[in-house]
Amino acid sequence: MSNLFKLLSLIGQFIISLFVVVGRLAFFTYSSVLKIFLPPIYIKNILLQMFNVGYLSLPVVGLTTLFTGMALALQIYEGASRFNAESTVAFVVAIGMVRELAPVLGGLMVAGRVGAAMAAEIGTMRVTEQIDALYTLSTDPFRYLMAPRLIAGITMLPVLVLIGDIIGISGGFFISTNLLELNKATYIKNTTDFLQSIDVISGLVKAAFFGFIVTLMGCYNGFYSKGGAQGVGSAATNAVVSGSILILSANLIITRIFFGA
Amino acid sequence: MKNPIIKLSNVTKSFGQKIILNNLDLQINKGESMVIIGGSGTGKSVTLKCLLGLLKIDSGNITIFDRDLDKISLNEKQEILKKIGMLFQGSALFDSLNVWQNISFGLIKGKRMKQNLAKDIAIDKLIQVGLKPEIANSYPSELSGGMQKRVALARAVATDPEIIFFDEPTTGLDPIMANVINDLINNIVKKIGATALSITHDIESAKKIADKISMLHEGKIIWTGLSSDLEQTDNKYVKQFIYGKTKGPIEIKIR
Ligand SMILES: Nc1ncnc2c1ncn2[C@@H]1O[C@H](COP(=O)(O)OP(=O)(O)OP(=O)(O)O)[C@@H](O)[C@H]1O
Ligand SMILES: [Mg+2]
Repeated sequence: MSNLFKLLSLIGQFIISLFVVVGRLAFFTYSSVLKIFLPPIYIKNILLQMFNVGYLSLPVVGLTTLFTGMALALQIYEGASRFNAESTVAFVVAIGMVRELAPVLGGLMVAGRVGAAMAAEIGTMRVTEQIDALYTLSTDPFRYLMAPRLIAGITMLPVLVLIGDIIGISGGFFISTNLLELNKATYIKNTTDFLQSIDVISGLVKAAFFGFIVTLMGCYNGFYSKGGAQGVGSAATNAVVSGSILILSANLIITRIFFGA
Repeated sequence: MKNPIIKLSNVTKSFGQKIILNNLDLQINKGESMVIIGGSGTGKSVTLKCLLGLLKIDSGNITIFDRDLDKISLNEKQEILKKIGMLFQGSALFDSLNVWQNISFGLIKGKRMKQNLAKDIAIDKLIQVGLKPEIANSYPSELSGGMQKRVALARAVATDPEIIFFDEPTTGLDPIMANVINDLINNIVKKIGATALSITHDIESAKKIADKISMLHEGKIIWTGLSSDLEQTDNKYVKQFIYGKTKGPIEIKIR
């Protein structure tokens, strides 16, 4: 009897804490997004974060998409040759990169790099009372810290992914025309003839959402971190894990909205 | 009779099961320098954070400038905060900004002052807290603990606030520097007419900067008096505290 009672109370606690988290996240998202549009707007912080999220992520995203584009070409060629359909390699590599792989892999890499760093930075500011100090100096942390990071994520991820698209397709082109001896001119023609702008655009829309998710998870987990170094550490971990899972599930939903029959 | 500029009535604050402030009452008049003393962990810092609205109180009322903190909008709260300076116990300097940017933060971000002007004021405040202008471009991590404390003090007073909260302004400073800070606080209160609420363990400092002293114990103010009355009081708690005796009504739980 008492065991049953314990179990029920555990379930109850879990459900309540779930509501607390959902409510808190909703409040946090609402406040941050609202403050993107309300002045004062901290231009310097926005530019700094854009540099941080965009420029400094270029090597990571570039290398990821380069290797992925190359490996994709090898795989598709292998598969396509079983049907004597080698001419489709160019098109499948391009569509795979721009629709799925560049946004998803780019988003995941940025979640690891930027999401964790943001959670650690804001988390440290929380536990050392710097966020409290911001309040007392009549500066709104949502405007000063969160909004610039969200803006940077939403705007810079599409740019990164566009660059990743080009690098990934070039990687595929390089492997196909050097290692697999496909014809260069035909390869380019196959890519440009069949790739539609909706393919690229859907990938960039995904990227904007992923940028929002990554920076939101970084800021949220940092803002509510507790305790000392340990709390900041788990905030960083949570930012990456929740960011990655949300990216993968949002990817499914956005794909379905764009291309679902 | 005029209203007190800061008034806490029946304030209760707990963390989980642990009651920290228990029906606390405290009043501070305009232009007065009040010092709160009390044992470590009795809730002195928590009191300041409740006053700033950084922590939500469970019950009771806090009014500052005759405005009830619970009943005003966020914008009004910000307007009130612009007239308040706060020195955090742990300094809480922004580690991504250098010393002068830290000090002038409230001037530039809060009061929209021009950079050059704000920097001049920042350097002036830096000198007032006994630091060299050369460190203006250093970052907080490059300073000693006592230097950080003084930069934080400079930041708290940079906007010439009407109310200033000092959480242990002289802790971690040598006796001479502590007196420099005592004089600075006196100066701000006497010359500018600001209202100060300070927390300290340093009885010498308390006697120098306080008009009135209150002692916090078990969630309540158990004694308030003029700073000149501190030595003469019969209150057993106060006596034990200021002479640092281990035996007395304040139980120190050591196992
Ligand atoms: N955020 C918090 N969560 C839980 N408990 C807290 C929190 N902040 C403070 N406390 C508790 O409240 C009590 C009072 O803390 P406070 O920091 O006000 O002490 P203090 O009087 O300033 O002590 P000191 O002189 O050592 O600075 C402590 O027991 C502390 O454990
Ligand atoms: Mg304290």
